[in-house]
Amino acid sequence: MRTWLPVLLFATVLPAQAAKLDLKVLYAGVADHPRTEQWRAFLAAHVAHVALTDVKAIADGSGTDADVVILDCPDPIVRKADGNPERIAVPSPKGLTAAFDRPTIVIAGMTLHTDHLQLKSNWL
Amino acid sequence: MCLYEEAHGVDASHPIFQGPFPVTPTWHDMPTPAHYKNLDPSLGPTLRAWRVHRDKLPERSYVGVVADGFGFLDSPDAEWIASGRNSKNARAAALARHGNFFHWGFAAAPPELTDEAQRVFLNTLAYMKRFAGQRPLAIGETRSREWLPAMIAGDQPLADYVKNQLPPSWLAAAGDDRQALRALAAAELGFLHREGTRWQVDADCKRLGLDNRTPTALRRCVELQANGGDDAKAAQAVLERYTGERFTTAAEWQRWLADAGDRLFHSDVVGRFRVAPKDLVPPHRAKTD
Repeated sequence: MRTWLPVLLFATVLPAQAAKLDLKVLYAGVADHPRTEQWRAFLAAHVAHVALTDVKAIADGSGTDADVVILDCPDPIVRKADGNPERIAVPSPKGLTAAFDRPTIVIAGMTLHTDHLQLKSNWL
Repeated sequence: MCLYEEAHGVDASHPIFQGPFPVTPTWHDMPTPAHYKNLDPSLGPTLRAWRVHRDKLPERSYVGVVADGFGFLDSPDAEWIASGRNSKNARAAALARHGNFFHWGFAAAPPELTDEAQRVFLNTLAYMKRFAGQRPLAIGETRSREWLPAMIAGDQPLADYVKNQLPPSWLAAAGDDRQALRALAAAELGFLHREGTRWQVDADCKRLGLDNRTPTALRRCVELQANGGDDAKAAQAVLERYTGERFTTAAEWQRWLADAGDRLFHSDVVGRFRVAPKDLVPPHRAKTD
């Protein structure tokens, strides 16, 4: 019983109340965008260490200090004055290839890049 | 851009639902989008769904992205975890992993994620740490043959883009008769081989009765090659075509197969067998009843 108690306690608390995950996370997004601050605040509350960088700067060899890298961007749809879509503008980390070996979470619009890398996680 | 607020087809047995923050998904019934039935008429009126966004997405807001779910599981470097309400089909992947890349297709920023989705995201961070250095193995742009039965599943007239995907021998034999095409797909899907931009029936595989997606087919070819006779030449050709190797004796093939063991896999993305590295982290697969 004594062995299980810490596990049960950990399992029943909300993330915000739980110990932080012992992870170093590199969030690569768009600087000064409100979405980046939202992700930073969320991650800082739940993981041991968070660093930020420009997603366009991510390249093979980046994030060697991170346990996990997150690739993210704001809504990439560029709209015309009438609100209709004009084009898609996803930031491009040109130096990131399929040889990139860090654990990576690719969020929403950044899938355009894994599509270019011909991964199964493509842009259908 | 085509993924909305909720996931469906969720594999809640996947580690990202298990911890470190266990999540028991709150399910609801989602009306099955009508267009899903174009590729899968067997779908019922509702799908069991799990809400990822707190609120309904306003018009012209950031929507998410789905990946092609057909064939996603044909290589051991990939995991399909969930689809989500989208404009493509019920198999499209909203949560999935390929090598060291995890596809989180939902567009919500953290304040827009439900509490359960926030937990799953944090669990995903913890889960992915183990995939350092686990690069994707099946890389390419070829779509899986699993698309073919889906494309002829409904009752709509065959569009030109569908005809351009089907093997010419199927069209020659069945024309636009979907029932006949479905029978051919059921009988011959395992014999298909990608040549250029379309699928063809591999005459050697068909004649020898070899499903070219299974390691068993390769082992049968080695037996045929060792036996000599009329089938030996075809068996050698099949072995070379689907492995990329050029061994000439049955002993060499047997040695290669033995070394590959259960690390051998076929992916339509690469069009042949490959051998997974020995340090591959085994993929999670949903338990089936």
